Amino acid sequence: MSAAGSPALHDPAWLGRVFWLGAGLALLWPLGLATEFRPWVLLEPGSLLVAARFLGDFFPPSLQPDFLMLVARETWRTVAMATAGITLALLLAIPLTLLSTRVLSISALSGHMASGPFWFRQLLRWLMIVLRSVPELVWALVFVRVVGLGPTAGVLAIALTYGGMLGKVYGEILESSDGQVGEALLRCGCGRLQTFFYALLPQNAAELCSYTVYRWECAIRSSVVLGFVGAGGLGQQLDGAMKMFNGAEVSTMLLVFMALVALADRASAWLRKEMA
Amino acid sequence: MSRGHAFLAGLALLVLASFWSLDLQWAQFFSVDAARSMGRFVGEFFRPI
Repeated sequence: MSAAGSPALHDPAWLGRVFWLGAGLALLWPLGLATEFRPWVLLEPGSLLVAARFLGDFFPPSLQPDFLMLVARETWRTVAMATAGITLALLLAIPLTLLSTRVLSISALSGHMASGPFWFRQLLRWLMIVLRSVPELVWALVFVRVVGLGPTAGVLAIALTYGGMLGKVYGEILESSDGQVGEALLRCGCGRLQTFFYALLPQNAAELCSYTVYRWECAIRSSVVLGFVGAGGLGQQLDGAMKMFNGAEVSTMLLVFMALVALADRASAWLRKEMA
Repeated sequence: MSRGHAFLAGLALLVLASFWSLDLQWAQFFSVDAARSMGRFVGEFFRPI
């Protein structure tokens, strides 16, 4: 008798599985209707032709010297926007982390944090939640009203959102490490900054660095999106090229993005190796 | 100069060059006009329609 035909190898729960699969599909159907999700539109001859022509233009990428010069200049703008944004975000995140992390609390050494420090830390956590819960696109649109089109709005938007994110994750990295060293230093009468520099930082430096480089990579991607709302850089050029259905230019710029992300990845790997 | 110092110097250069080349409009951002515009925008949050 073959293995597949053996009654012992039949799935005893097949009826339930088929039922729940069907129930899931039946639930998804109205959601698809409500969101006007119609993937078959993509396969209509008209759409296929436009998409194929656009994608066909991707190869070969545009390599004209003056366009490459423009891409190089706008790439630097994008990298500069991400770097300046992350630098300002760090200026915001580092004090917020030091003030809000639980492991640097002296009153918590006795087992229970006093209510004053607890609420102070909670307040800072709420501030970080507000900063990062507003997407950078929305911050950028707010700042574009104030400072006009240009990189200032993009840099400020990245700084605020990423300040909140970095502050939260730095705090969690510090809290998830082995707390005994820091606790020992605090109990011996060391200050909070001394404890941070001699216990928490050496323990977590590699992880903190790797997360910061990853956020820099995210900031590059995000400054591209911010370019779409007028913050300048590669995003604005990409927006223009997409609207003109200029596939060759779009593919050149996408290749530049991939190179930037690969570069950030290499930098992060090298940094972690050096710090290990 | 060790590799670590070279890396830190490169990083500092990148940050300085970023701020220098972007021509950020701080004066405009911290102006009275900007504060008024932000205030008006935030004020609109609390006005029921």
